[in-house]
Amino acid sequence: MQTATRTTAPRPWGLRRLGPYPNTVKMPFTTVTVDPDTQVGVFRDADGHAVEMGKHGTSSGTSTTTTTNLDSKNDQGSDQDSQQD
Amino acid sequence: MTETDRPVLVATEPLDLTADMVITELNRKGAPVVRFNPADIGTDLMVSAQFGVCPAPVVGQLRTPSRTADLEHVRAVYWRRPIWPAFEYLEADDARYATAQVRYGLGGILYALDGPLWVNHPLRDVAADYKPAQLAVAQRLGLTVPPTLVTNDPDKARQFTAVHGPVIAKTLRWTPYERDGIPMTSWAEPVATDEIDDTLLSAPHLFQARVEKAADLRVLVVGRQVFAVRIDSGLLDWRTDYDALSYSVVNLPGCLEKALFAVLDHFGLASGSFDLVQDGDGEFHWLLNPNGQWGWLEEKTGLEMSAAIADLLIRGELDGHRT
Repeated sequence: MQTATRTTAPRPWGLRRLGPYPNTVKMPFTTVTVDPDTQVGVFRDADGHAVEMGKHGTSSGTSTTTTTNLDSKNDQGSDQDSQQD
Repeated sequence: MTETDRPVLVATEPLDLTADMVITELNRKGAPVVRFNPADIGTDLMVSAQFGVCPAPVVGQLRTPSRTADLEHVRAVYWRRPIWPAFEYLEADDARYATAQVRYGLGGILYALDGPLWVNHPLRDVAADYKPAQLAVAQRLGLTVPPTLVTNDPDKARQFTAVHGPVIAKTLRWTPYERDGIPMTSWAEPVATDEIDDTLLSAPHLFQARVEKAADLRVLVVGRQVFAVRIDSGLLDWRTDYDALSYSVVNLPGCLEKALFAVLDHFGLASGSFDLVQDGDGEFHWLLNPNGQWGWLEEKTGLEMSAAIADLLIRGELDGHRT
């Protein structure tokens, strides 16, 4: 039975219902490091200049997702910690 | 940092603007912060703990290039979005070994501490991250849950869709997914009965009756503080167009707040965010999302969410009584 299932339905139905994020915004930085004095992220562009991020990309609101998005990757209730479980 | 300071540990990756908001508040309030990312294990992240050598069951330190935390003095742990090291440069078996040692060594040392308040404890988060369990707990605790089916039986799914339609399908758990390099996610779209076929057999799927909604709400609970934001859009899934959204701060009925507290208490979570749907009759329906984002809502509404989380971390304990 298991073999039959695997040959007839190798990929779950839900995968067909995935769709791309509607828009993506490239965040204006190339590196981020933690500031030793404040412990907050310091963002720099390709020329090494600090970039002010404000609250941009704290979700979705300004940068609806992707690898360039900041938070929506766990917007559906996930924690990196649990991904192996 | 002196020994009497009681630091707040913030576990997250470097790119985390929401954590930055909370850390900024912690700085403003004068609380020492030690930020670290488990993926930095090595010279940039060193941890040591001793057991059985002191009256205290565990003593030790966690060191980053900029800070050192005495583990027995940790006041709270803000477990945001830590990345565990993958050791990609090692052979698969070696990498699996190394990764496990970090998780069970670094993670284990932190779990051994009995002092800090966790926001949230990762093991509790994991336990709460099962939608079928959430639905049952929500209903048990007095929330209204839309009719929902979890199944890998295509016939059952078709029957449910016919009886409860319009029905939407949701993932049981989000995973990173790219197709041709384009990130994908699931969107709430109605399911037609004839769309269901035998590919459903390969895994359980979640189907939920669509609520005729007047508005969506995202609710952040921090300890016993509630921040409820009504999101008006006219969209079935408001994530599809953030430009179309308008936000307003609302008060929830007391009984609903109590039910949300009870859900968090059940799962042992100090903080959580929820998605609710309000129907045309004003009734609230529970939808799923105990870990939704809130950073942009603070920006849109001015609600002092990050300050509330900072206060909770500084206090190091939940206010109010567990029920």
